[in-house]
Amino acid sequence: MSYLNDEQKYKILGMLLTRESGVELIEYLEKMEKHSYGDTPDSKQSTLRSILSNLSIKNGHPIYYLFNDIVGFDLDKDLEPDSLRALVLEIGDLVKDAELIRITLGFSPDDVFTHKLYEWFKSEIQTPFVLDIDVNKEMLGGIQFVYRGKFHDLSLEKKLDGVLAKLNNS
Amino acid sequence: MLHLPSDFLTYTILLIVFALFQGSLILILVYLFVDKVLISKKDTLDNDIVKQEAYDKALNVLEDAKEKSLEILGTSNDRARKILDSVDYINVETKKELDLELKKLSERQVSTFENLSSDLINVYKNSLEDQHKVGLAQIEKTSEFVQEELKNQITDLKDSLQKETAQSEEQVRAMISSDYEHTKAEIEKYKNEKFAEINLKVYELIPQITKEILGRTLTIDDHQSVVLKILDDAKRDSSLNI
Repeated sequence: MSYLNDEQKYKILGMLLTRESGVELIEYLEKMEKHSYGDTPDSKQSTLRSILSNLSIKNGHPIYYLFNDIVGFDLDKDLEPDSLRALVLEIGDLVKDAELIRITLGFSPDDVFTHKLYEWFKSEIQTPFVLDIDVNKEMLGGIQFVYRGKFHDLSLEKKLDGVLAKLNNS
Repeated sequence: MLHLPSDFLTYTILLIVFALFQGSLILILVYLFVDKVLISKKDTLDNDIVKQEAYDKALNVLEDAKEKSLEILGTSNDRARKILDSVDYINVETKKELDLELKKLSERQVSTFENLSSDLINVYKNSLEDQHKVGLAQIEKTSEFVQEELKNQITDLKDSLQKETAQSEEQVRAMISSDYEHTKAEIEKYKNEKFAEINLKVYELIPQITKEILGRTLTIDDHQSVVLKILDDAKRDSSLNI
């Protein structure tokens, strides 16, 4: 049984933005799973809210946003262990199967800029994807990325080469 | 009364002498004539010299002949006189007649020689004048011929010079053109090499300089703006084919 439709999947990936965030989410979900089922019966929690509380996850946290706003789980209702397990697996597959855009920047981007980057690529790419951002401090500026095996160089070095070539030809 | 054998011998000797003298004159005239003919056939100015030499020789021969004739005649007269003196039986009147005859003979001989010299000089003079005229005509002809020849040679030389000058000009022009093209190519090559060197240095320097400047001046916000602008530009000009 699938808990997520296409819209929900896009929302989750749009929330995650990067593969790194996806991996962190999966790690959180696995922790939740342990807290909900636990190795011993004592550790079992009845509701999703109590589980999030025990993990110090509050409103505004991506996990909170995932369950409350995207998936639409009732936080105060008893959580079926199988449901949570299935959801964790499905999100894991979603992150794993999403197309990956490997990006190189000359600086470390903040969340707001990463979100802007994601939105820009979202306007160009129609399939589910996540970003994989690498920082190269030697890079002068601009951006380089690889999508579906194709390298796109929009770095300042490349732009500078073009300008110099034009100067040379003139 | 005359002693006939002696007188006859004397006159015979005189006649023989006279005949010899005349014969030598004829020989001299033949010699001069042949010499003149030979000389007239010569065309060059050396003829004058040859003729002068011939003339001198002829005069010498004539002079010698004259001297010898006079000498012979003198001797003959002396001998005749001696013979006449020795003949006692020749009367005074006869002697005088003989002397007179001898004197006349001598004078005639001298006159003949003088006429002969005068004729010879005239002949020589005429010959010289003729030769001079022929020489002048030949010189004129030669001059015209030389002039024409010179003219032709000058024309030929002029044509040849013009041709050679034109050829030289063409060769020089070709050489200059070739040198110019070669030099131009070398300059172009040198220029390209220098430009390549400069460009290489520029390529090396500009990124370094730019990086240093941008690295010092670009903030994180600037970097972010640059990235988004580059992406938007690529999207706008469709250069990014995702």
